[in-house]
Amino acid sequence: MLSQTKKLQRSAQFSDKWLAGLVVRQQAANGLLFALPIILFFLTLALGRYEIGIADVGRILLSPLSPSLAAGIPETAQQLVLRVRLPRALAALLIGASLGGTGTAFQAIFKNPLVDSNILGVTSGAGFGAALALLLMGRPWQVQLSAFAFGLLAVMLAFFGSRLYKTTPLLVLTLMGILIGSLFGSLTSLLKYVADPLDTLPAITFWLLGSLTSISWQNMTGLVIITMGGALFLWLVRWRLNILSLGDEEAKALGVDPTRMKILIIACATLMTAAAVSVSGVIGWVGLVMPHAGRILVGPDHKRLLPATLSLGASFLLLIDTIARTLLPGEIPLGVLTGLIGVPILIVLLRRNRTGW
Amino acid sequence: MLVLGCSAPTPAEVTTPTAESISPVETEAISTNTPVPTTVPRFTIQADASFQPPLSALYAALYGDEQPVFVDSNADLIAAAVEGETFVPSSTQAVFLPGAALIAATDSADVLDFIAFAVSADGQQVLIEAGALPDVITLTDQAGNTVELAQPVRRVISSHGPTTALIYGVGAQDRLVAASYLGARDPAGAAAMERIDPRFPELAADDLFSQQNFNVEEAALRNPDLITTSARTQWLDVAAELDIPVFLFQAETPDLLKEAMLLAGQIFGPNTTAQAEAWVAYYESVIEAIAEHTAPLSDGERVRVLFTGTEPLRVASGEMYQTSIIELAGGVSVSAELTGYWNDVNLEQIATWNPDVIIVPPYGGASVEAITESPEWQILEAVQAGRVYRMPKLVVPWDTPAPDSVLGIIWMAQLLYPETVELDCAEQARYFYNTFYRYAITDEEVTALCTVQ
Amino acid sequence: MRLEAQQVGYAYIPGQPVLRDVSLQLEAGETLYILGRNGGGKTTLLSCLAGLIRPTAGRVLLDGKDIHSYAPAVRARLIGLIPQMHTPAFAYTVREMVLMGRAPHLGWLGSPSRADYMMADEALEQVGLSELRSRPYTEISGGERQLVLIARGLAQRCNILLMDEPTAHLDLSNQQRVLEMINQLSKQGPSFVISSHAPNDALIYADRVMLLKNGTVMAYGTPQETLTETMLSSAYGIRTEVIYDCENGSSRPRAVVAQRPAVLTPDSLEKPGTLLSEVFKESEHTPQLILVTGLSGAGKTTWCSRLVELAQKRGLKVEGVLSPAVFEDGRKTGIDMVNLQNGERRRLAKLREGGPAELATTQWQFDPTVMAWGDHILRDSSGGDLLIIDELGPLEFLRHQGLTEGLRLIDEQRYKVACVVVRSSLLPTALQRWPQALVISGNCKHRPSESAPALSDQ
Repeated sequence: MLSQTKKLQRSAQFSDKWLAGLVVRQQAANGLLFALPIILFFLTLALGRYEIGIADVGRILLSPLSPSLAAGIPETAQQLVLRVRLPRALAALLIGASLGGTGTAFQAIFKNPLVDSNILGVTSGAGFGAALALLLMGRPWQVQLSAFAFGLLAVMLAFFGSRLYKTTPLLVLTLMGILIGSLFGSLTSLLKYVADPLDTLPAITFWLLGSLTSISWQNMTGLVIITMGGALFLWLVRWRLNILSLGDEEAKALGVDPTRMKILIIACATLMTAAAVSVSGVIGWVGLVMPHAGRILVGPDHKRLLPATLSLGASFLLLIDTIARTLLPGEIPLGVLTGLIGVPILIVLLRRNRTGW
Repeated sequence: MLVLGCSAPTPAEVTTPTAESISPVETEAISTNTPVPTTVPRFTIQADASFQPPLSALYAALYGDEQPVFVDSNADLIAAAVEGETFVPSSTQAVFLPGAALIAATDSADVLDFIAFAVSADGQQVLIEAGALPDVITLTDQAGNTVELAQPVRRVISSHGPTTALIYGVGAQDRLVAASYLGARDPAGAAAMERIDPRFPELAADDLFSQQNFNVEEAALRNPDLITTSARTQWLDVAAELDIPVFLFQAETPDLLKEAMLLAGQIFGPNTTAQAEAWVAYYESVIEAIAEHTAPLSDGERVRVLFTGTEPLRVASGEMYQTSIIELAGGVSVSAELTGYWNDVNLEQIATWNPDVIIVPPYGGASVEAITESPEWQILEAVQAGRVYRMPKLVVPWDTPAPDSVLGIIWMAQLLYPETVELDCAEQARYFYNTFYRYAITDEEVTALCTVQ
Repeated sequence: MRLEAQQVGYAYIPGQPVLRDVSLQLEAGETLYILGRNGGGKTTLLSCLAGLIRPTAGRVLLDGKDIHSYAPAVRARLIGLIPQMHTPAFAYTVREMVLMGRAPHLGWLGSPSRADYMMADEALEQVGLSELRSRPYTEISGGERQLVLIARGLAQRCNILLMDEPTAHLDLSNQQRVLEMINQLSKQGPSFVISSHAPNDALIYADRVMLLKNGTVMAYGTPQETLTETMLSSAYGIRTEVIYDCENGSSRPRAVVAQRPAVLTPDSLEKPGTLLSEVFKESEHTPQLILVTGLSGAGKTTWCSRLVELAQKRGLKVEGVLSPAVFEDGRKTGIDMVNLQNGERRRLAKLREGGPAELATTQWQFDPTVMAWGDHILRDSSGGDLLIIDELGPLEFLRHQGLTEGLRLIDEQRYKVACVVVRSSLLPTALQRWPQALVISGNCKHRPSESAPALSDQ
């Protein structure tokens, strides 16, 4: 009897210390993940085809507050940093965070670590919308709007199609998403076939491969609002994702209405993804790989995983975009780089993996 | 009233040859005692003995039993030897045999008809039967294939826009039965093309024949003798099934363009050959004239030019014809380090290149405003100075590898070096379209083309 | 906190209810076991009770109010369901899993607070799994996983916990661990409703038991009342035996054991004290039914004919029909039917030749006239001392054709001793119909003879 008590006490001590250590480690990791995108943001502002020293960049950034700081720096450099690099870096952060966060949310809802935000076809729909607008010689804002609209349309079609068949809702939803995605993919191929190979087709191809060249302060407003709002919502319900990932039955048993939550999360994630894709084109891999990387780093508890993937996604895309615009005189499409760089990173992370997903 | 013995017309002096400006030169008349015909002939012909049999054949084909009347002097129609490069065909003078031209001395309709007949496909046929022209010629196309062409080539399908421009440039448009046109899809271009060639609406067949796409059955319906297209075409195997010769062009550089023109001319007979040679001579003289002024410039003094594409951030690579134009005009293409076709870049890269002048092409929805009205582009000095210009086009854009591009070079040279270059865009445009397209370009059109915005 | 079900019914497909007219009342602190066969409606009932699905008939009341009138989060604070164990998609730690039980107490957009973490830790403490706190849920044993789910239910702080087959897939020690834990916990307050496969567990741990058969309540009461041999046999379709403990003059049931078919030879009839002779002795007072079972060709008919022989030798009146096989070159090519009263024999069945037949199974084509003749015999029979019906098979049980009079005879118990040949696959059906029957394995040491046994002794 006594020895049992002693055993309990000892185990409590041991676990307390260990727990304390764990908490410190966790907080350190949290801090790092929070700071990483911010640090990268400022670093990458100093990189680019046009040489600008980092001290100069700092001065330029502060110059709206006190113009004298930027005296002596060529006007072109200033405009480049403020008008070209700054919005682009910000967009990379937002889009990367969007893709990472929505990938995590979808993996939770579908209980499947192999899906990304395109499971319901939003990216394929957006690709089609953009191709259509490019074919009809639309202006850039029209391309963006069309991509956004068709992205939403694709998800709605997948969603309402799945309501027709009630017995295994999750499976049917996945299936409908894949079907709708394929449908829009085929339609996009059709548009590519019809397009003028000398100018429209390369435009469509480049758009589909993803790039942030056309970012400016004008077309960022919608992106900023939707991404920040959506990310906030996902952050607030992040713990609920744990429960949704157990399945509808258990969720209901725990007092959560899974259908309503899923609809809200899907709507939010779709808006975020559509907004991102309509600005940047199709960027694959981020939504699939970042949640895995996040799980390997902080574990599957969405309370920590979601913020982690927001941060990782933002950092990753920022890094990729900096390479895309700096390495060669011509722009390298983002979709090319995300795979080339993302896959080795994931393989390295997998080797350090603790357990399961 | 001959055009023999003139020196090669320099660009500054070239004007539309009219009857008044041609200086008379003495000829060596063959004195024969030709009997004065009893009836009044349609027109008289002055020709060397070697030319008389083919002329008779032509005459017979046209006028049946009538005999041609040959005289020694004061003829209505003169047949004489010429040198290719110096001869510019027109409605009043044409090369009907290699090195031999027919020149109209009067305005008689019969004479002009005769000249027109002599260089038409039917006339060529007559000359072939008379043994004066070969019935088959063998040429090597620009993809390296040896092609045998039965003469005369009467029915051509041209499924590549620039190639069609070549055919118009050498004056063989009457041989077309269907063609894909460059720069004729927008309403202004289409209207201009129709003015240039009234047959354009029925000839235009872009949906049937293009670089990606060849409707074999429609082609067979038109019964062509020859198909001309670009060497980059994808459907060559299909066309081979029709058993019709296919001639491939690939004119991405100035040298290749000249070669393409000459080949195009040779396909259709001596007159078109002469026109092609005339164009090549013109092209070279233009380049020479510009080089005179720009060659001494050092690299640092040359104007830096950025040639953009259908999007402001899509630029021409160093391997494209547009870069050649810039260089021939004496400028430097900032994007010459890129390779391939159109390249996508970002604004920073353009800022690093720092061009002095930005050129926007006249196709693909590109516009000057897209650049000048965009706040980000203001970081470039060229945009701030307002030096963003649109390459002109009447039908064929002046920056594409087609005969019209000679004007593109002139236009650009005048733009980049207005003080030193003496060629005048308006003057040259008139000359070019009158001569090579046989199109009386209006003053409005010239102004629209040459006024720089 | 009272949970009540009033005539609850549920049909997934309209017109095909899986639950019919189920009523129960769960008192505070009570442990209710729900037993029944697979597919009998247990899981559906639990889902209805937990308020996850809406019954298509009747209603469920929680504390007097319809359970669906509660908001889901409020309801989840009162009643929790632990579904059948399955592997989650992601490897949450044990602590995170237990923490999820706090969900009903948090708002829509809430995350767990320190207090919630403490409650989760407490729950883990209660089930004794504190050391496993940070282990991934997917890496612990089945029993530990079940305990984690119970801890989650505890963290949920609900008064009523429903558990769907908590001991399935668990080894003996884990089963014990889980059930003991539930038992200990129930003493502290919560009520449990447990669906289970194991009547023995119910015997030991349940306060009350509900026995479901085909979606309806067969029995509802204390384990002693409900877990009788008859009830169990009827519910499960097997012969069961309940082992009692005799203490202080009263007997308490201790364990339920499935009974295998008895193996006895017909010759044991001669020996007094054997089961078979006892059966015949009892038949003076109550009708005795023997089901002779076995696979095809095992010797059921042979067993019966041997019994007939011996019975006739003892002077007993034997009635009924026997269906000996007809062999040609060692292969069974036909079935005869023998009237045991007068020995008359007719060809009942031959090998099916393909094409539609009026009265046929997959292998045999029956002569309808002979079948009717057999049926006629049975109708006129009064049972005698020994009634033989060989056999009642798919035609009779499933299609209501063939020897339907035989079915009626047995249903109405118009016999003293009846031996009915029933093939193994139909034994559960037969037992569900006649749970009192004695099951005998009709395997014979005697080789099947080429001709029918001599019946000319009459």
